[in-house]
Amino acid sequence: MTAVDPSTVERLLGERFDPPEAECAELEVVALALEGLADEEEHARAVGHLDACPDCAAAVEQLGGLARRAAADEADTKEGSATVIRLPWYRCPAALALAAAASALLVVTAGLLLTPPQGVERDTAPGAGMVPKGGGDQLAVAVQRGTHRFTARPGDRLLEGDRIGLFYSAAEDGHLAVIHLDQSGATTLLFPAGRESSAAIRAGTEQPLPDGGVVEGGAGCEWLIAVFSEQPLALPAMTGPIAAAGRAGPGCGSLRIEIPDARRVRVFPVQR
Amino acid sequence: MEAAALIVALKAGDESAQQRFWEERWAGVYAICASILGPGPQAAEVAQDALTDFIFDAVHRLQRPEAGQAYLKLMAARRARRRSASIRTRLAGDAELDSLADGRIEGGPEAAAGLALLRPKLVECLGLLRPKARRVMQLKYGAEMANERIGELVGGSKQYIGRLIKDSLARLRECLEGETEVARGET
Repeated sequence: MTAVDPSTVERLLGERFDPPEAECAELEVVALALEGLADEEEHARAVGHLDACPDCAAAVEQLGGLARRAAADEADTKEGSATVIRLPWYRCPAALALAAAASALLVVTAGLLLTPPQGVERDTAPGAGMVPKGGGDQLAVAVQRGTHRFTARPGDRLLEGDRIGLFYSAAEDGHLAVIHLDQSGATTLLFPAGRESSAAIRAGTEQPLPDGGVVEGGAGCEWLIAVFSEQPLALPAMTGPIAAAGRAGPGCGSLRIEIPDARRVRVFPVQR
Repeated sequence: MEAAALIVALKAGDESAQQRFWEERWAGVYAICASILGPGPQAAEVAQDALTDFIFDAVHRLQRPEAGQAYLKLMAARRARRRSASIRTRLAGDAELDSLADGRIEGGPEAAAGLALLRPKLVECLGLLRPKARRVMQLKYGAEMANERIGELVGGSKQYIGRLIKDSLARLRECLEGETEVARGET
């Protein structure tokens, strides 16, 4: 036994507790979106907030990483174990629309892991910074597996034979290319197929792209990368930085891509 | 009790709901913190504070109880990341080690080493108190509130809060001395 003086206990307690911390005011709306419970307006608020709040974006990405690891290691998954986090976006959402909302949120957070491309314009006027230029640029992925259709979530496992459809959202007109990257660094232009530069797009929400793909055999991490820009970008100006992209952390979700003339780069990781 | 119903009970200040919520959520919240900070007392501290602040503070601001589970996870992840950043900053300038080397810590290096050994155990001992007692200790020693104000926040007269603090200090001391096992949730 080691005698502990009462004043020592009080001193330890004084050191142990930090002053109260204020929580982010938008945390509830982000939580609703993660649960797939946000309505359209709340979802837009959550997405806007994640673009503006790196702390929340990093927290969402952290939780997403845990969920992906848990899903990839289902054999070790036991409810109630200290090592398991079962996150809501791995549950079957009640409606496809809600699944799309949760998915779009994760697209945003994956994108936030990227180093901001040089030349991205941000409105820094007081009160106007909540929607950075390109902030509405999103990529969503739909999958048809046999007769079953669903909205893919970042980190989902794709199987050989899956048919992939691509959808984009953009707050402004611009140009877009969607490029596939595999673990070896090989790139394939998915949209616009057969072209040498990105294609013009109109502003809109969840607009279908004419090009998609059928999944072939593969293994490990792969990425679908959407490059949004104001002006058309030549293919090598995009595939060069993408092929050279470095992992920003463990797992499939973190890629560091810098494309100087891009307005926004979105990364959608998948597992094979 | 469903998750949303449990949140409603927490909003009402139900002490058995507080204990149940803590027991049901501890493993998940700790796992999030440990994924960022590594397993150990740092992760346990952040998990304790996130759970306590959720049960006694954040839950009252929630407009949609069904958001509660994800809200708590986000709280834990944000706080663990902040703690991780503050640890890196501290390591960069390691003021504590510098003052230890200079002999500036009260009581000298031996007292400092004794405190360093007790800190991880304090986290473990605090984990044995009931959520309300932990919250009271947090408000007393973290926010430095008067007993009367603490009573207004968590429920109870200043005399009751005074007794709760006295009992909790005694139990923590016993636990730190390692002589007496503190029954889980006794205080």
